[in-house]
Amino acid sequence: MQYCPDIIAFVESPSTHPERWVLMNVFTRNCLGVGPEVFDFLSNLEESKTKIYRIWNIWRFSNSEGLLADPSRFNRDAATWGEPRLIGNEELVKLLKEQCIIIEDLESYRKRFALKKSLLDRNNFGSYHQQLGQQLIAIERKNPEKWWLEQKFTTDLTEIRKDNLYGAVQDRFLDEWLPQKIKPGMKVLDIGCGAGLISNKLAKLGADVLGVDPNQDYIQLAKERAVKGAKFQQLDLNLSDALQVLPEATFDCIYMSDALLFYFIPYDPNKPINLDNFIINIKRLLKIGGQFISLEPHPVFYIQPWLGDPQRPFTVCTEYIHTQWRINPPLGKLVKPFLENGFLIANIEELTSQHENPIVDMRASVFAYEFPVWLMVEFIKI
Amino acid sequence: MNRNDVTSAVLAFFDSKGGLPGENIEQKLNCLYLDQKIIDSMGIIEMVTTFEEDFDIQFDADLMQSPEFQTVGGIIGIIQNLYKEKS
Repeated sequence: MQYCPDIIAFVESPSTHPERWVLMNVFTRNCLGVGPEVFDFLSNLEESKTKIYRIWNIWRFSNSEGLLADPSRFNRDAATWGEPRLIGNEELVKLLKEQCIIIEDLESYRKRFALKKSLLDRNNFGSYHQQLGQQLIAIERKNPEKWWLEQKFTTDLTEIRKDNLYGAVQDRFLDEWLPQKIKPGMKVLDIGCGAGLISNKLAKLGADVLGVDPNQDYIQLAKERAVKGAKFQQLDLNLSDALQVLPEATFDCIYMSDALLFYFIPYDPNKPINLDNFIINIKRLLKIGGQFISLEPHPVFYIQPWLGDPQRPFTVCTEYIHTQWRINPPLGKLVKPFLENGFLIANIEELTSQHENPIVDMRASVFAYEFPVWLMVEFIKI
Repeated sequence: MNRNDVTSAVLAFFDSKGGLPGENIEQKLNCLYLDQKIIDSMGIIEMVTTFEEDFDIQFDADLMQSPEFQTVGGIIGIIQNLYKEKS
């Protein structure tokens, strides 16, 4: 038995509950609320003790409340932790092991950093998508597809939600930036258009827009709600030749958001999607000088834990190049395939919030003010 | 409800998914149905829902992620225990 080397400890609510500590494994995102007497135990693991320890079970899969809900995976406000459980030495060891605060040995612990063999695999930590799927499907019995949509859109799919970072960061950015970018008469392709919200936004700026999406229901909805200048077509984008039905050198601009990441890190690790084929296709569809606008979760900060004081949050980054927990590729890996296929980068924007926003959780908003949660890259076809 | 009834119902479910590999009942009961891709992620939900409805039981998260739940025979044992507890 030994300490796990991946742990941090902090007091979550120092002004009101200075004795309620969080012990967190920053790699696995497991954690336990403990009284400071637990540090006496941790100071000498081998010594037999007969103390009573205060513990709070504060771990929760916070992202099941939303992709942009607090990703830190514990009940934040120590005032909501309730009364502690009073436990002895034996149970403390069991709980600390369950939450990967202490481990039997480093070798077998590191072996657990493998993909889950199935949705019911609890031993391997797996990827973020696997953890989310396990939580939603096996534990909460929710339909992941429906859950995904609810993160970004209002339930009637008429608007992007204003009460989370999709509205406060992504949509706000688009409302400010697109009018500078989109000129009347431009031909624009919106790949993965869903129910057509962004396509309509583009068309209202005077663009001639074609929105494509694999989901026939969304395309039907998009057609019913189409504004002047917006057309929609169902295309099964999972098929490698899907975009080949569109004529070449047609578009001045191709827009895609929150979808390119799946070409790098597929939702199902067993079902990779061909990125090269996608890039060849968008290059074919763009006119010379045309732009591919990619707006994706930021390679560093998206779904990182939000730690520290809400007015000056920080995060702990545990990986960058070799992605396990994150859902998107590092910056170099994201842009290189485009550069190798004849694109240049015209612009990069890191999207942030406006500090505090009255309708968005303060910690979320302030975190996103300091740490950009989306990255926009404009690639030009040369 | 005895073990044979539960076994028949569970095997019938897997038969509806293309059947379990194995030449005899023992091999079928030892089948790691997920590792052998007899059912996929959504199949798990269908399986759990089917057994919960058929036997009027509830699998909790700990049970579903236990090693016993990974084999056909293990599921049969779990269902039987839950059914006994209920009655």
